Formats: sequence, C-alpha cells, structure tokens
Amino acid sequence: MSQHVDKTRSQAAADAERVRARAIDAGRWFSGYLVAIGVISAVEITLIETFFPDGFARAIVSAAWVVCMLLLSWRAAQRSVWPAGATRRMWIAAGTWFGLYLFAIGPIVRWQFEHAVLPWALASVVMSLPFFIAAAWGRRHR
Amino acid sequence: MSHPRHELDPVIHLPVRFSIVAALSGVERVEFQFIRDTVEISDSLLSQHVTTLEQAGYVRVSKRKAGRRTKTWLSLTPKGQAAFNHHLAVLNQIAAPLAAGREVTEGT
Repeated sequence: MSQHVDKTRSQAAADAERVRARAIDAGRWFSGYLVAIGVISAVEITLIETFFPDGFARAIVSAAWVVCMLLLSWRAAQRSVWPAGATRRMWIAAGTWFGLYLFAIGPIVRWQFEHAVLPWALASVVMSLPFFIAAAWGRRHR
Repeated sequence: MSHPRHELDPVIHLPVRFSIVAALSGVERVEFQFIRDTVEISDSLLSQHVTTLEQAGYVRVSKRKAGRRTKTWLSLTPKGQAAFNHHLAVLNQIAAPLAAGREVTEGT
C-alpha cells in the first residue's frame, strides 16, 4: 500500500516535470524575438548614420524601425508563455543598447569615422550584442 | 513522524495543483488558457485551483489587454517557487528508494 502511494508520488513528480518542460519549450520564441530586435536595430543605426544621416529619409528609416518594433511587440503579445526573466532581460538589453548608442560607442564612431559604412556596421552589431547575449542567456538557462 | 511525506505541502499536494505550479515554475508568466490546455482541465476547475493557490500566496494573477480581449496571466510568487522546490525535493526523496529498488531488480 505504502509502496503504491510512493509510486503515485513519483508519477506525480514525473508528470510535473513533463508539464514544466512543455511550458519552458513554449517560451523558446523569446530568444528569436530578442535576436530580431538586435538585428533590426543594428540595420536601423547603420542606415541612419551612413546612408541617411539627415533629412526626411532619416525620419522615414526611424519610423520604419518604430513600426518594426510595434509589429514585433504585437506578435509577442500573442504568445502564451513568457520565459523566466524575460522582462528583466529585455529591459537590460534595451537600456544597454540605448546607452551605448547615445553615450559611448555612438559618439566615438561619429567623431572618428563620421558616416563611414564599415565602422558603423561593426559598431551597430557591437551595440546590439546585449540583445544577442540576452537571447543566448535564455537558451542556456532553460 | 520521520517519513518525508509529512513535509509535503498540503496546498500543492493535489496532483492538479502540483502540475499547475510545476508549469509556472520554469517561466515568468503563462496565460490561463495555456495552463488549462497543458494540465487538461476545465476553465472552472482551473479557476478554483488558481484561487486556492492565490490565497496561499503561491500564484499571482494579472489581467492585461491584448487587442480587443483581456488575457489572464498566471505567475509563481517567490513563496510559491520555494514551496514547489521543497515539495519536489520531498517527492524525489520518497521516490529515490523506489528507483534504487528498480535498478537492483533490473540488475538481477
């Protein structure tokens, strides 16, 4: 009798693990979401700092970036599961990206290379690293 | 009173509640409907269990607008996470001799 009860408990533990794994799997989309934000942001910065540094085209590119972010956010809102630490990872990555662009890497690259494409392309990828790191961190700590 | 079963948490001891807490344990938040489908129970039953878990301080319920409809989100509180971890540890403690016995039986 006691062994039967213990077996039921071990079955409960196995079922719980299955349910937990399913929920964690359903949160896998978030890493791709962060990578998409990083890539789109890198492209946006490269475009507005090199090909469209001023004028109406710059505003158009910035608006396109905003639209992309809104679409990504809308798509994210459709999801049923947000993985562990998702909000924290997102805000840390976005804050770091913004800080690097506004106060660190952005001003240095502008000062040293002005509107050169290659330095800005490399710099924008480096500035997007927080998003890629946050995505990789989520996959590792699953 | 030395058997580990005495340490099992009465709130999450019920298999359904344990499964709900387990599903919430590895994520930040989960939509009500996802839990309903994963644990395979009705809306009303899930609602009852969630209320019990919420009253115990194990689960947080929040509602957010998503387009035209409102989504209900469930997340585990730190207290709920600690209770789940302890409960799981006790279950594993109970199951460990069983697994060892099975290995011995299969080995002979």
